[in-house]
Amino acid sequence: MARKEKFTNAPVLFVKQGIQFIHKCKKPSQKEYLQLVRAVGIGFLMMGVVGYLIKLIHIPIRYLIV
Amino acid sequence: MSEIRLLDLIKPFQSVVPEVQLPYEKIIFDEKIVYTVAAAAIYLLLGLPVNGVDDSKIVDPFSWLRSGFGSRAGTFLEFGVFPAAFSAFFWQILAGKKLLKVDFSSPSDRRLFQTLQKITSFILGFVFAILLVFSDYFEPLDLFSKTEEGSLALTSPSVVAKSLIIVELTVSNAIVTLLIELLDKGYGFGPGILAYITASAATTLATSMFGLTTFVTSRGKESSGAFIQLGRNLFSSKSWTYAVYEAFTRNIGANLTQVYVAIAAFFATLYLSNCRYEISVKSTKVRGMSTVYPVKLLYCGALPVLFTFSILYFLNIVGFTLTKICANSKYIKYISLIGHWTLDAETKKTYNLDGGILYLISAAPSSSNLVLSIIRPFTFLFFVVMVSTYFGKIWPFMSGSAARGVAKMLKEQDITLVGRRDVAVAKELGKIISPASRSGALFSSAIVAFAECCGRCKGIAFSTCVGILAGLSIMEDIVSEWQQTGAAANSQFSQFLPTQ
Amino acid sequence: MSSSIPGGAKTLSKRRANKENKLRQQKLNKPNSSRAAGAGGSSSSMLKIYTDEADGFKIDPLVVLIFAVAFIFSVVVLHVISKLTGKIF
Repeated sequence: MARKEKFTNAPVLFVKQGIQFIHKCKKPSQKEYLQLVRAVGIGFLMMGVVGYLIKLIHIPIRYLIV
Repeated sequence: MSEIRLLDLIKPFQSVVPEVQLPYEKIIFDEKIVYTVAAAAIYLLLGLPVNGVDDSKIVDPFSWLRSGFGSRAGTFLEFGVFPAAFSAFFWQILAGKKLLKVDFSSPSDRRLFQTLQKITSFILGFVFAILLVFSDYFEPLDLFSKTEEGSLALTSPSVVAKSLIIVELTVSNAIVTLLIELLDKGYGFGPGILAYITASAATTLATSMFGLTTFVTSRGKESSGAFIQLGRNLFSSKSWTYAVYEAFTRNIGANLTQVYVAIAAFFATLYLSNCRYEISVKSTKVRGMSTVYPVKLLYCGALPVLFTFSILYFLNIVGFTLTKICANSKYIKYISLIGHWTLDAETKKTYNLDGGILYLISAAPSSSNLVLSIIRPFTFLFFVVMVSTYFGKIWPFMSGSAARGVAKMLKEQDITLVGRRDVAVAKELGKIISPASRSGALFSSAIVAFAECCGRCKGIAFSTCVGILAGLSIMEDIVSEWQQTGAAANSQFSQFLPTQ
Repeated sequence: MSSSIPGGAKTLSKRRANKENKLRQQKLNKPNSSRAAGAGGSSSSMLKIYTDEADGFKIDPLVVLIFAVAFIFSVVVLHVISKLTGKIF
């Protein structure tokens, strides 16, 4: 019986803990958030440019082989 | 002790498996950046069609799954990082659950375990290639629809061509695995798998916005980039409202709706990833020095979602190929219970799942069966969220970053929690870390699953979320390296990177 | 309050329980992954698999990159050949 109770209680406990945690969580301030967006944005943009260039290289190769 | 372990069985193979050398000395910051970019560029360069396959004509049933694994249909990236990721998850969880006996405190066992993961990755690539080739996945649709025209190119590939495809896919998968190893061993930044996922996600985003390649559709030529296509529409069509409407709703290639969903996902993920619980810690050596140790809400980063989708990918590959290979056998009735694929009537570019068990856990648009299509979003959401949350629950223990591991790490750095005795540190951390990792996994997976199942976003939400979270993990790696080595002074890149 | 004889049955069982506890603790404390054992490996948000140096045949990282490029190049050449001869084997 005790085992069964534990089983049904687990999701409730889990949700409770989760909500508790989110209340305690520190949300990013606007300045931090913008800084992070900028940093990740720059990284993503750089990778995007590299990938885009590779795609551009692919165009003539594909033209050659297809 | 006399029982034979699986690990011992692979010992003979250990000496033939290629192994990237560990660097002799520490690679400096700039070199690492060059290695990372070069490896990522070569990875992306592998996106060329396999010999004997026309990748523009492949009908791809996995299109909604592959974006997060950096894979591309019909090319050498047919599987992307999926085999390596799947074998890593699979063996690590088996070992963590003590189903596979590995003594991680012995170096030789650790090496064997690593070789096991690598061999599994090689074999998975080989097996998947065979499965796909024999399920006629690489044959273009024209082969089935207009055979009577009988042109030369439309003959089914010969046995030689088929084995050539298998060999090429196996070799390219091995290359991808070695490229992953290259970054993992410290030549570049971040775990290889995540680095390539980031690179691929960024590329997908860039090309779906500004892609220049054109393809021919029933409506004429179209560009792969949504913004380019918008410009093309504005020039060519008569009414502007139609042009804009078309750019937002087109079905082939990326449309503007998907691009905006991806950008929204970008900001939402970044916000979530910055939510954290700060534990105040102090040094035991230096008096009066106290800082905070942040525990992130998304404690496991991209991994829970990645894990769930790697399971889905695996099930889909196996299910699809089985149903195709066994299409003429007498057991097809039972096999088609797994899943049933139909050709997307409009685009003729994808097979959509429309029945069977796999349909219930897919983001496929609709089914002919009304009951199934009503319950499908709920089962899909439920599956993704449950599996991810379970993963978020167990992964910290598997990877040694649960409370005990962190407590040990803090102790090694002579740091302790403010107002706690040494013994209670692990317990206190556990109260914070395990809810964090579980609810983080729940959140990220719920966002991805929700975005995937409403609206036809075709894996864009998945790929951006995973891409950004993976990118964040790599950024962490870069930043920590930056601070540790004080590379700021002697790096060529210091002017580009934000100094914090 | 209770007065028990020192060294009695109770102490013995307590000792045994303690020993069992210790064994269980040891089993629990056994590392689950390479990272937990103090070597490199996956952390909570990073999936790092190949961090140890196993005893395979060693290759230089540059060789991997060059091999990959050579592979791509040879495949492109194969494509061109099959295009020129007009058939796929």
